[in-house]
Amino acid sequence: MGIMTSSLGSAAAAASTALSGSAPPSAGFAKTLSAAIDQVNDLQTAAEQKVTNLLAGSGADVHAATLSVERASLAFDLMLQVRNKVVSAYQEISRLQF
Amino acid sequence: MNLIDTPLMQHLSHFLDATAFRSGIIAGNIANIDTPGYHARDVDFHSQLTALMSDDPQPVTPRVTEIAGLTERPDGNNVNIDREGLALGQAQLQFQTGIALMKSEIHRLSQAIHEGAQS
Amino acid sequence: MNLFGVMGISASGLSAERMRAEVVASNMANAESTRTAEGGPYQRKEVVLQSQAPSSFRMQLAGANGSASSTLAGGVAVRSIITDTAAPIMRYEPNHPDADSNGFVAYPNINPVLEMTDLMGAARAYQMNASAVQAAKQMIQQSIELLK
Repeated sequence: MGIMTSSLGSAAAAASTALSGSAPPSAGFAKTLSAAIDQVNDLQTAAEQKVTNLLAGSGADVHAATLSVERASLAFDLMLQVRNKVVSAYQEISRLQF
Repeated sequence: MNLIDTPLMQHLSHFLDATAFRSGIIAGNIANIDTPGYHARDVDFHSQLTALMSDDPQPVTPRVTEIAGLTERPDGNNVNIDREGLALGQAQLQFQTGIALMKSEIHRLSQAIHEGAQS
Repeated sequence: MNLFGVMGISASGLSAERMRAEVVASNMANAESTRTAEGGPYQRKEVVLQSQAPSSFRMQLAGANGSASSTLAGGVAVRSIITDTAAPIMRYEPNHPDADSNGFVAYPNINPVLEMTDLMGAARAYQMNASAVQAAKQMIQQSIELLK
């Protein structure tokens, strides 16, 4: 999942630099998106840690591990939706320039 | 953590942790029902929960104390098997409730994320 | 606490109660044994149980943070199986091969009523521990449900 995050991150970075060059409202998107990406990374690392602990039997609890996996998944969904918004906003703006 | 974590999820997470911990204490009481001199223990659940619900919740280390008011048998053991059975059932139901509430909260967040995409 | 650890605690309870039941069965089977490998009649055996301190660091930390008792509830272990030192019951049977010089035979001092009571207690405790294992297993399964 880390590979997907970084590729999304680079696509989002490209979209947000393009957007911030064209119109002010996109700066809000770019900031939210980068915050979402950071959060996803943190949550995914935490989830992987918890699951590893669970598998190694070193005291992590099942519900804590499954919960952190769910939260990472939710955060990823959120980031995905924000990215879609960013990309569609970029596409709209690029259509306007014609 | 503010984009994803709602306060309710934090509370539920700590509730689940506390309930799982308490079920461990109860299991210890049940396992030691014939151990001479063993005194039944429990977690101070209620006050711990109110502490968690009050302000920004920190994971509180649960306090384990001996249960007052139990009669001691001649071998020094005061574990009441009926009380422990009841407490175990209660902890199990509480855990189930917590999980169900957590599931609905996750579902609600997931809906919010996907609804926003369609607007 | 780790729910798998909870199952371990109940599992230790199961083994301890099973050991008690086995000792009772041995006592009952040998209630009339006048001769053993060590010579002399069968001596009644009894199980001594001891509570175990928890192995996880977090629980020991919780114990250091102000619980009333010095050790937290962990599982249970069989500390030892002791031999009852009560004197054997002497019965007058001069024709018995194990009779002593006065014609008395030493029989084990085993009361079937006491042994049956012990057995019933062990069986009930075994059942409770099995229920606790089921409860922990259900909680783990419900936690997995979160992923669905």
